[in-house]
Amino acid sequence: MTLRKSQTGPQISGQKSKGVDFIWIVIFLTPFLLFYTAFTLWPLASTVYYSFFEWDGIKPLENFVGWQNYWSIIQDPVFWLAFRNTIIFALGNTIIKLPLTLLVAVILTRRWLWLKTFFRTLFFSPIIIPVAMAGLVFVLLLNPANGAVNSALLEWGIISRPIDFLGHPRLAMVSLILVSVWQIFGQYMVYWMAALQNVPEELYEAAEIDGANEWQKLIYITLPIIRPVAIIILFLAFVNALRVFGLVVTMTSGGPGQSTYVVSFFIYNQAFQEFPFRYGYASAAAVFFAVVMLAVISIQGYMVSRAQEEQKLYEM
Amino acid sequence: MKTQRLVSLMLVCILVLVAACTSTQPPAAPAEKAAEPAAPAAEAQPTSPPTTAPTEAPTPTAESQPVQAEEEHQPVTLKVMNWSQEQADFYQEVAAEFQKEYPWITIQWETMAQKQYKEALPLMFKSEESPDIFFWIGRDRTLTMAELLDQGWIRPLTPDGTVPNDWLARWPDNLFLEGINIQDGQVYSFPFNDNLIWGPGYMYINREVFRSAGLDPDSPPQTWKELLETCRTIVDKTEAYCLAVPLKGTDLQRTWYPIAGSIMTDQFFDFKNGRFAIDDPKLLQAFEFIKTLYDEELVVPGVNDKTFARQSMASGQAAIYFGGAWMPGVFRKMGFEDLDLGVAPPPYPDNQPRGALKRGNTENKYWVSSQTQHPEEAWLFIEWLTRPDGFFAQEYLKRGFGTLAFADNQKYIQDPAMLKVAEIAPQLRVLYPEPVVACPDIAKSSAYIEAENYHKNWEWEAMVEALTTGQDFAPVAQEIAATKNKIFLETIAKEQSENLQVSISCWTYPEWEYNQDFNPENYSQHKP
Amino acid sequence: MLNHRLTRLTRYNLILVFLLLVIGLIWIYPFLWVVFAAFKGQREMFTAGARLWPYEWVFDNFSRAWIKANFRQYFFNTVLYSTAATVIELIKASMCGYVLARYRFPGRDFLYRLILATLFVPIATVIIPQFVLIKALGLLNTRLGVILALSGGAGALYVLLFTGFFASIPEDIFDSARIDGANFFQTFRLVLPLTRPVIATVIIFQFMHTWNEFNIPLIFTFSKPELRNLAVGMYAFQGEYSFDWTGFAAGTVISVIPVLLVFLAFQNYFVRGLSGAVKG
Repeated sequence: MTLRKSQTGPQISGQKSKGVDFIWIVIFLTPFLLFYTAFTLWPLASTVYYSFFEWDGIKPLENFVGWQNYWSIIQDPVFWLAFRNTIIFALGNTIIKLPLTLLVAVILTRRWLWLKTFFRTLFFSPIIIPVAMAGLVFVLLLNPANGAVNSALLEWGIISRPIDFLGHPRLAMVSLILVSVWQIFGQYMVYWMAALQNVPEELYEAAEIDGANEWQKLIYITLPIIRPVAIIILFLAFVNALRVFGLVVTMTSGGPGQSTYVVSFFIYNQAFQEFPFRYGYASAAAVFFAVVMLAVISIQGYMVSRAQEEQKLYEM
Repeated sequence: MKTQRLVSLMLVCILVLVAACTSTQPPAAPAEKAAEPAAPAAEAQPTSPPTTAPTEAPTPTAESQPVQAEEEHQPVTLKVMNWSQEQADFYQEVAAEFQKEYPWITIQWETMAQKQYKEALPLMFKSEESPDIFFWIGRDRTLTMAELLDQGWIRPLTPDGTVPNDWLARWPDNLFLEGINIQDGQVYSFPFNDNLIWGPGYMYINREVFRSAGLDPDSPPQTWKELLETCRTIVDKTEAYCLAVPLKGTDLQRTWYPIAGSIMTDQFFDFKNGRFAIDDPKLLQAFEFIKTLYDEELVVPGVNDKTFARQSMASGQAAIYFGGAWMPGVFRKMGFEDLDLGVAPPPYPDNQPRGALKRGNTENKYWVSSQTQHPEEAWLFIEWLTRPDGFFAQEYLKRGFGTLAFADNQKYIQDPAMLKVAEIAPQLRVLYPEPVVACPDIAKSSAYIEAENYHKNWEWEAMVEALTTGQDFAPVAQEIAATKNKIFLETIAKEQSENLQVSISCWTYPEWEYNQDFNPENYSQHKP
Repeated sequence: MLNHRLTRLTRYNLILVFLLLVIGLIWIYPFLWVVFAAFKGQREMFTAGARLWPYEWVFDNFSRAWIKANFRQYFFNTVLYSTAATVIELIKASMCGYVLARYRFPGRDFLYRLILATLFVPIATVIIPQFVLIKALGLLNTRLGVILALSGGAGALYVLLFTGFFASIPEDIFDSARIDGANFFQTFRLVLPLTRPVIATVIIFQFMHTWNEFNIPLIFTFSKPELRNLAVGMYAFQGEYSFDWTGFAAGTVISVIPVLLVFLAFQNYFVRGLSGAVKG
C-alpha cells in the first residue's frame, strides 16, 4: 500500500513449496492466523457490521438502520471538529517527534559516544509511565499558578506573566502535542536507531576521508539510505498519532471548550460514557474515520512510490 | 485461484476455532433455586425498632416471625457493586457485621473507579454476571429507573414486589413516587443519600487566608457585591488569589451551580417557563459575574481540574472554593487535616429575588439486578442496610462518607464542618417540579434527553471558552438555547404524533417560584 | 593523525555528553517527579511545585499500594500474563514470519498485504467483539481467556519484523542445512537463534504492551477480581470524590520497575532486532 517493495514483501530466495512443505506451511501459519482472525479481522468486520445498526452494545442486535449512522456522522459538527483536531494533532506530533527522535537516535548510535546505555534508557523512560500519571504530572507542572515550568520561566526572566499552557485553545493543543512527543519519544528513537543500523559503517569512514562533516554525512549518506524505512516509520507515526486518547483524557478532557476534542475521545464517549450507549454510532464513526485515513495514507503512499520510481528512472 | 485457496485455508481456521468454542463451553449452571427456603423476606428485625407504626393495614409479612437460626439455609453469596473505592474497607466491616446476623449470607462488596464501572457494568449484564445489587445513576438522575427498566436490568426490591410500610416509614414523606422509584406499585429502589444536604453549592473558605487579609472568617461575604469586595481585599492584602475555580471538562459546574442557583436556577432548563434557558438574562448575569471575577484576576489562573483547584484553596493559594457537601471529607483525604475550614451559604445577588438549587429525586442509587438468583437475600440486605440506627447508617455518617436519606444525619455526623454543611442546606435547595410525576409517559419520552444530548456539555464548553478567550458569551448562549429548544419541541411534537401522552405543559410550571418548594398538589394541573 | 582524531572525538564527547546530560535531566525530570512523589504525603505532593526531594519521607504509600490496592496479588498475575502472552506472541509471529519470508505459496502476497494494511487501520473499538468472542469460547473469568486476548492484539507488526529478518538471513545457511538433510522444522530451529534481535524486540514491545494493558484484564474478569492485573489495580486509587495520588505514584513506581529491567536486559538486542526487520 505504501511501498512497492514492502507491498510484495521481502524477496523470496527460498524454494517453491512442495507437498511435504505445504503441510508444514499450514502448521506454521495456523497459530498466527487463528489469533489474527479472532482478534484482528473478526473485530474489524464486526465493527463494520455494527455500524449499520442502532445498537447500545448490549441488547440483541436488531435495529438495522442502513447508512443512517454514517449519514448522521457526516452531519455531526462535533465529529468534524474532533476530526480537524485529530489531524492537527497528528500532523504536529509527527512533524515534531520524527526529526527530534532521529537526531537523538543519530547521536546515540555514534560508536564513540560515552554513556550510550545510560542515555538511551534516559530518553526511553517516559514511555513506561502510565498515561494517567503522565497527564497528572504535566497538569501540575504546567499550571500557571505555581507550576514548575512557569516558575522557572518567570525566574529566568523569559516571561513576565505566567502562561496558561492548558487554558487557551491553541496553546492547549500545542502543549498536548509537546507532552505526547515527550511521552512517545522512546519508541521512535528506537525505530530510528534500528533503521540506522542499516547504514554500513564503511560509508561513514569513506566520507570522513573525503572530509565530510557530521551534517553532510547525515544529509548525503544516512538519510538516503534509511529512506525506505523512514517512510514506514513516518506512516506508523502518523497513524499512531491519530489514535491519541489517554493524554487527552487526563490532560484536557477535550478542552478548553472543545479545542482538543479528538476522534478517539468522541468515539469513546459515544460508545461507553454516555448512557444509553451508541455503540453502532461509535462504530460508524470509527469505520468512517479509518476509511478516510486509509484513503489519505494510500494516496500518499502511492505518490511516494511513484516519486521513487521516477527517481529510479532518472538514475538509470 | 490463489485467493480461493487462501479463503479455504481461512475457513479451515475458522472451523477449528468454532470447534474449540463448542468444546470449551462450560456446562450450564445447575438450578439450585429449588433448595432455597421459602421467602423469609421482609421480616422486621427485632434489633431494629420500627421508626413509626405502620400507617395502613398490617404488612403482608408477619412481624412476629423471628429469624429462625435453626432453619436450614443454603449458603448464599451476594455480590454488591458500586464506585466508591475509598469506602472499600468500610464495606468489609459491613459485610462482616451483616453476616453476624445472617450467617448464611456472604456479602461480596466490590468497588471500582467510576469510569471503568460505567463501562464494565453493561458488559456484566451482557454476560449475565451482573452483581445482585448494584449502584447506578442515569443520565437524567430522576429517570434512572425508567432507563434501567428499559434495559431490563432491574427487578423490584422484594421478592413479591411489595415492601412493608414500616420500611417505607424510614424515609420522609414524598420520596417514594410512581415513575421515580415505583413502577406499577412495585418499589424498585430507595433514596440513599439525602437530597437536601448531599449536593453541590457550598462556599468553603480557608479561614487562615481570610485572617491574613484582615477579614473576619466568621462573617464571610453574603452577596455578590460583598464577594467581589472581599476578593479584591484578599488579592490586595495577601499573596493568595481569592477563588479557586476548576474549568476542566465540566468542572465549572462546581462554581456555576451556587452562583446560578443564587439568582435563578442551577439547571440549564427553566422549569418555570419550560425551556432551555442558558440565554435567560438572569443566567447571563450569573455568567457575567463569574467573568468579572476572572477579568479582575481574582481567580487562580488556568484551566485547572477540580483536584488542583481544591488543593490551591486548601494550601492557602486561594481563599474560597465552591464545592459539594463531600468536601470536608475530601480535604481530609487529600492530607489537609489541619486546614482551618469554614463553610457558608453561597452569596446571592444584590437587591434581586433569590433563586435556589435543585432538590430533586436524585438519590435512588442502589438497584437489584433482574439476573439475581437471590432476591430474598438481596432484600434482607437492603432492609438491614437501611435501618436508621443500624450499623451501616451510624458508621457511614460517623466516618463522614455522606449523608443518608433514611437516618437522622445530625445525630451521627461528628465532623463539625459537616454539621455546618447540614445546617446551611435548607437555605440552599428547594423542591423542583418533577415532570415525570405529572406525566408518567415522560419516562418513555426522549425529548429532554435528545435536546440535552444534541451537543453534550455545550453550555460548559461555551462558558469555559468565553472565560478563557474573552469572547462574548451571549450570542453563543442564544444559539445553544435556540438549538436545544427547537429539538426539544420538535421531539415532543413527534412523540405526540406517536401517541405518547406528553406536552410542553409537563415541563412548564409558571405557578412555581424559583426559591420555593414546589407544591406536589399542583402536578394534577399539568396532566397532558 | 590518530592522535588528532582521538582528541577530536574526546572533544565531541565532552560537548555531547554535557549537552545530553542537561537535556536528559530536563527530559527525565517528570519521571523523577513521579518517583519522588511516591515518597511524599498527599499534601506535599500538590504543594511542592517543582521540588523533587521530599521534606518528609513517607513510605506508607507503598504499603497502601501493595496491600490495599492488592498489588501483591496483581503483581503475580501481571507477570504471568505478560510472560505467557509474550511467549505466545513469539511462537506465532516467528513461525508465520518464517513461512512468509522463505516460502512462496498461494495467497502469500495477499496475506502479507492484509497484515500490512491492518497495521495502518486506526480502529480502537474492538473491545466488544473481543468480549463476545471470549464469552463464546467460555473463557470469561479465566486466566487463559485473558492471556489469549492479550496475545491477539499487536501481532501484525511482529510478523512483519520476523519476516524482514528471516528474509535477510544469508542463503548459505539454508543451503548447508539442506545438505545436512535437515527437514522443514529442523531448519527453522537452526535459524531461529539468529533472530535473537527480533526476539528481544518482540519481548520488549509485547511485554510492555501486556504489562500496561487495562481493558482486557478488567472486562474479562468481572466475576473474579483476583485475576486482574496491575494496570487495573492502579485504578483502586480513584475514589468517588477524591484520588489518592501518592498511592498511585507508589503503584507506578512498583509497576514500572519490571518493565525498566526488561528494557535494560534486552535493549542492545532490541536495536539490532528492528534493523533486520525494516530492511524488508
